[in-house]
Amino acid sequence: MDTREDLQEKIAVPAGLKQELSDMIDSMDAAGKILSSGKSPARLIMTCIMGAAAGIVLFFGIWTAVETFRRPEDTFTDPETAYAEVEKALFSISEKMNAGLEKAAEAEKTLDRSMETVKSLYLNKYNELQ
Amino acid sequence: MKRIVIIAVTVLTALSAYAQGGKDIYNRYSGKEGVSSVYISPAMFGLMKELPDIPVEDGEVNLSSVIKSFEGMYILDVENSDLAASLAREIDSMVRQGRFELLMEAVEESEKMHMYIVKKGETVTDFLLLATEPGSTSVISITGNIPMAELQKILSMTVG
Repeated sequence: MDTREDLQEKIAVPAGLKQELSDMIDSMDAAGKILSSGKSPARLIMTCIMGAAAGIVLFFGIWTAVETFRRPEDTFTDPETAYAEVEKALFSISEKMNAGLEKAAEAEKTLDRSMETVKSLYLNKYNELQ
Repeated sequence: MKRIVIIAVTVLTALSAYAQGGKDIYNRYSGKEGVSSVYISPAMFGLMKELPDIPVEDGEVNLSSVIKSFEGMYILDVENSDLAASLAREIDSMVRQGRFELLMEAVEESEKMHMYIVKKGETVTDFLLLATEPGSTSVISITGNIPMAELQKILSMTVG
């Protein structure tokens, strides 16, 4: 019959078992902390989704910033050609302005004619009454 | 995490608001099919200031003095109907932000022309012309320190 001391000598403890047990206890402890802090799996998923959303928003923010501050390239390299283009643009502005003013002048003439008609009708009526 | 999202959204919103400027709009439309674009930088306007004054005949307006007050110019001429409609909407939205004031509006059937300015006292810092007709939109945006009297000279000069 083997004594207790003999059995302890015969059954060898596997190497690293102590470390594995320690790690398992640590991970169970960590899982317990997560559960006790109220972070359910749904909440963890939400946190991940929010993180991804934040990343997307930041990406688009940076992209917008880059696009906004990108300086366009000059169309012309020669100042004289650029000057000619500016002059052309100013003439175009003036042309559009003049077209608008012509319409206003036409409207004014029509208004004047209508006023004249009203005035003559009024005078005719007034003369008839006299 | 919530804080990061809030900060990111705030930054994006601020950038979007800032992005509604002439440069951003020009960057997004230039180079696309059916879009003619011209950009003249402040550096180029600086070089133009070195050019000798062009003599003008009687009755002509001397443009060199007004051009020298310019600091940048963007021109977009969009012939693609989808892009033209989108550009007109964007300009309209930029104008609705309240910085610009309407200088003139002319509407003839489906053709519309709007001129807007941003004024600081008697100086115009931004001039914007938006001309729309079915299928096309043209925008001329000028920045600078343009005395109101000089701008009036351009607007009153006779063409042709």
